[in-house]
Amino acid sequence: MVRSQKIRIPLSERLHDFRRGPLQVLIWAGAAVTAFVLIERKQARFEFQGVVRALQAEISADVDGRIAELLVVPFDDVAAGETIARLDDALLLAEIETSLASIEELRQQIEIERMRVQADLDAQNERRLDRLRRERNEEARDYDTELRRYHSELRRYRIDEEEQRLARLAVEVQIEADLVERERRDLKVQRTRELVAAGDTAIEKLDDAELKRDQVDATIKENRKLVEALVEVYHAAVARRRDFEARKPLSIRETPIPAAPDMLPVFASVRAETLRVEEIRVRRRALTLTAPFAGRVSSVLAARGQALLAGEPVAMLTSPYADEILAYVPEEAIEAFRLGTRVLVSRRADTKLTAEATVTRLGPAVEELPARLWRSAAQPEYGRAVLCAGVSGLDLTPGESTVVRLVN
Amino acid sequence: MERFFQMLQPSPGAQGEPTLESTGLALLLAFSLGQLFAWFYSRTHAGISYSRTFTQSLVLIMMVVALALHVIGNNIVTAFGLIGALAIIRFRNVLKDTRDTAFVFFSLIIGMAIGVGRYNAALVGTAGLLLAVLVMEATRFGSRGHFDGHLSLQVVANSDEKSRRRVLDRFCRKFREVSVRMAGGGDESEVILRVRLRDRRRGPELLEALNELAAVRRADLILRDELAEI
Repeated sequence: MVRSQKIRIPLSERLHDFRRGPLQVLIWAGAAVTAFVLIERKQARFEFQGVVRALQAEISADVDGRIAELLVVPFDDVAAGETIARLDDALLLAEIETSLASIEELRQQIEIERMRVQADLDAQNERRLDRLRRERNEEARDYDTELRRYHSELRRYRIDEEEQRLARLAVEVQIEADLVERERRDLKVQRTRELVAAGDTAIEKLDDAELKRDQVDATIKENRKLVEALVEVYHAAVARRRDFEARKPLSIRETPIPAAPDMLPVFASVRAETLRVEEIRVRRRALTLTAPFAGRVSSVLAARGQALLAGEPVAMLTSPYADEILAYVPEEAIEAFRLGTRVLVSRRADTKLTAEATVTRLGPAVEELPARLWRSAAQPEYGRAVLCAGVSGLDLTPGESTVVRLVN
Repeated sequence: MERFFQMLQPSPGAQGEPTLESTGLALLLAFSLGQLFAWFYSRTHAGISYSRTFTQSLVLIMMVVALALHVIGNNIVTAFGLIGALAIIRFRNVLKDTRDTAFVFFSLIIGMAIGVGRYNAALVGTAGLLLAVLVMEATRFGSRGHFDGHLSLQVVANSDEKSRRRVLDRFCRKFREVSVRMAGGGDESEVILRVRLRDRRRGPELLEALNELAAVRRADLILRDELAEI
């Protein structure tokens, strides 16, 4: 009799079947799900490229000149206001000398005019006395004589005024010259100090340099006090003239007093010298190139002795502190970014450490990314620039590339 | 749906340099899609030239090519180097088996990855590919037509099949007649069946049970070698 009970399938066969059937499906499903999760994780990050932005400044001269001193080398740290370079001051000193000579010339002209006015006044007085003696009438007044006398007196007051102005200008020009000298002395002190620190020169040299600098300093202070005093004297001269004008005699009050035509060129020259002193002052300031903020010299673009045109860069200064990121967002993700959007920033070198930042500015247009941020060297990429600020705790280096992600 | 398509977009901000994650993702995706592809090939293949190793090599080649593109990137020099190396190998060796080709290609790509300094890709690629090979081998991926062997019966012609079927049902999970031939001058029939046994070790019992049947004159069981390429 044939037994009909089916024999049992052993476990090994079942396992064998499992391996050849469901296990393949399971493995496939596991791989597919893992791939799916990785893709989604990758996309969900919305990672974008960014570059750390730091404050940078190009140090350049406002005027043409030749570099007399270059006081920094690449990667030097400088403080705000520290001198980076100095232009040659020979031309300025020559201008100062010219200005002083012009002021002296004008002084001489005004002195000559003063003597002439005085002689004229004396002659008028003599004629008046003669007439009075002839007519024996102290109250007789000659209208023309009165007018000429008034005219001459007024010229004297004007001359006085211009003389005071010139005196002040001369001192101011001298102060400018002293300031130029002082800056030279300052550099000498600085250099001597470095040599003393290196042991290359005696400390007496430093003392000597400092002493000379202090002497110039003292002269400048004295001259500034003198200028203040001269300003007072000038104002007093103006007040005297105005007072004299106010006391114009009745007999000639209605008569207009013309300005002395022969004095007009002198007075105009005095005005011109006033403006030239201001010009000297501006040029003196432009000789010294200083750091606008504390930072590090990232590059030196000129050398000592090099002639420069106005605007030509001498050095680049970068602030060592950076808390802004310039990120580039592809067009398809632009909608996710608004002012105030929060983002996570991490350094590309260490993506585990993140910091939060906020979008503060949006670029106006879609632009080409810097080449170093392209995924492929041969394929340019485009995106909208977005400025994220307020990053802290990441120790960012200016120019470093970063990864920016949206905060979900 | 939109989210699905968004996921498939190239990741914004992704760097050109492959990372561990990106290489792993590429290999996983290639394995998944390759396996799907190979299943369809296996199920729809008609004809007698089916090869399990060819089916497996479909998966391997997909993974190797994904790894190759990761290594080459956009570097045209590396790409030309790969072409040259492939050409040299091809002309020096005749590769009869597609799986052999996949392994040769694999060695080439790993060597290239190490040469260009993409150690991540080399390590992950090696681990991923070897794991895929092991998995496919362990699961006998690509094999089809699960049967254990052929049963040859000499039976009395026109005899009742019921008892024979009962015996076969008892010992076999499935069986199928593949040929019937008249023998012995018309008194006997030779029936050849393809069988899948419930327990391979109990093949002799099956023969014994069949031989006990009056209608069965002779029974032979030829078990298939698992390594045989069928």
